[in-house]
Amino acid sequence: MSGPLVAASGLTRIYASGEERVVGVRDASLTLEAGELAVLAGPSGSGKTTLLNLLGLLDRPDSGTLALHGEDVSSLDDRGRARLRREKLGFVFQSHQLVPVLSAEENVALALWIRGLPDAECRTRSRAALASVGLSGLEARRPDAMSGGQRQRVAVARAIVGEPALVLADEPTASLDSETAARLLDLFDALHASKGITFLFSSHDPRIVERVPRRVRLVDGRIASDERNGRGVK
Amino acid sequence: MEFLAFPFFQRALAAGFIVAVVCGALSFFVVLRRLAFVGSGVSHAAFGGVALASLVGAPPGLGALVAAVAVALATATASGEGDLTEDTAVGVFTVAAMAVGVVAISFLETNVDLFGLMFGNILTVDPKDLLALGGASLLVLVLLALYFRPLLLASIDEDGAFAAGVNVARMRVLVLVLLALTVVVGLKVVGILLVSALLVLPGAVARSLTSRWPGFLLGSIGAALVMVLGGLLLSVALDVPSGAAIILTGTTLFFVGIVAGRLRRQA
Repeated sequence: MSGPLVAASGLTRIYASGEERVVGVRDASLTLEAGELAVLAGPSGSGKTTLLNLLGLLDRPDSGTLALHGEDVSSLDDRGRARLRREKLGFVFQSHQLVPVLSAEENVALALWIRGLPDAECRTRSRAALASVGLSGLEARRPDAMSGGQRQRVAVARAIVGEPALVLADEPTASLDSETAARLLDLFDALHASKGITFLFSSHDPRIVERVPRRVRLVDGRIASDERNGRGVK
Repeated sequence: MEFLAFPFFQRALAAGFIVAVVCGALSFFVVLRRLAFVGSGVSHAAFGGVALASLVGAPPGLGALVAAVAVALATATASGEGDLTEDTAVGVFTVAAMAVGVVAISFLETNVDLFGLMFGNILTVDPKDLLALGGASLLVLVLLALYFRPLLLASIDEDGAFAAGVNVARMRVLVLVLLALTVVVGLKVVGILLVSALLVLPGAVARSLTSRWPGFLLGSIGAALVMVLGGLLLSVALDVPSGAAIILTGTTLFFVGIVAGRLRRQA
C-alpha cells in the first residue's frame, strides 16, 4: 500500500429529483494524508454529506476516481466496498445511530462482533474503546440514559474500536450545545494525537471549523478552498 | 393423559416442538424487522402454490414452498429497487398468488381439503411429514446460525449495518426466504391462515417482557414452545381444533406478557 490515505479526483454526484437534477458534489478533488485531522466546512446543502458518503464508500460517484492507500476503489463491486468499509473505515453519524436496546458496551462491540470476533475479545476491546473516550464505568448504560455528548462519545468509540484507517463523521456536533461540541472536538484532537487516527468530519459551525488544522470549504457542491494551517493545499 | 401413549400424539408433540423452535427463532426477526404483514402475505401466497400443485399432480408442500419463496423473492426485489415498500409489494404479489390458486381450484376435479389447508391439523402429521418438517426446520436454523450476527445488525440498524460492511440487500432476501420456508414448515401444524400468528405472537410476547436481545430471542422460542405444546394439550383436553387452540394460547400469553411487562416497568 502506498500513496496518500485518500486520493479523490473529479468526484461528481448528481441526484435525479423528478425532472430536476440536483448537484450533490461536482468535480471534487481532495487528498488526505494518514494522520490528518480535517473538516469539510460549508452551509447546509453545500455537499458535505454527499462527499463524505462518496469517500466512505456509502455511495458511488457518477464520475471521478477514488483511491485508498493507492488502491483504486472506484470500480470495486459491492462486496469489495463492504469489505473496505468493514476493515478500513469507521463512521460517526449526525444522530449517533446507537441501538437503543443495547448497552453502550454492546453498541461498541457490534462493530467487532459483526466481523466474527470472539465475544471475550469484543468485550475487552469495547471497554478499552469506551475508556479512551472517557466513558469508563458507563459500559452497561443504555443510550436513552445518557446525555447527548455521552451518546456521541459512544458513537466515536464504536467508530474507532476496529482500528480503522479513517474515521468519517457527518456533522457530529450538530445536535450538541457549544460546550459539549467543543469537548467532542477535544476528544477528536486527543485521539488524533495519541493514536494517530485520521479524522475527516463535516461541520457548518465556524467555531468548530476554526479549530481544525485542515479545512476544506464547500460551496454549492464544489470545493471552494482547501487550507492546511492557514495555507492553501495544492 | 393416556393419549400421550398414542404414536399420532407423539408425532404431533415432536412436530409441535420443531415448529415452535423454528417459528420462535424467526419470530424474533419478524418482530424486529416489522414483517408481520409480510409473513401473513407469504403464508397466504402458499395457498396458490398448493392449488397449482394439486392441479398438476405435484406434492402440495412443494407447491406451497415454491409459491412462498417466489413471493418472498419478488417482494425483496421490488422493495429493494426502492419503488415499493415491503408491505405494498407483498400485498400485490399475495393477492395475485391467491387468485391463481382460486382459478386452479376451479379446474380441479377432486376435492381439496381447504379446511385443513386453512387451519391445519397437527394431529394428522405422519412420519413422512415429520421428516420433511425436520429437514426444512434444520435448514432454517442452520442458515439463521450462520448469518445470525449480520442478520441481527441489519434488523436493528440497517444504515449502520451497511456502513459496517454488511450486505443488507442480501440479508433482506435471506430473511424473506427464511420466512417463506418457515411458513411452509408451519402449514401442516396451524394452516395458512394461522401460521402468520406463529411468526408474530412468540416475538411479540418476548418483546413485551424484555428488550435485550438474548432474552428476547430465548423468550420468543420459549413462548412459541408454550404456545404450541400448551395449545396442543389443551386441544386434546377440551376437544377443540388444535390450530385454534395453539393460537388462542399464544394470544393469552401475549396479553399476560403485556400486563407482566407493564407491572415490571412500574416496579
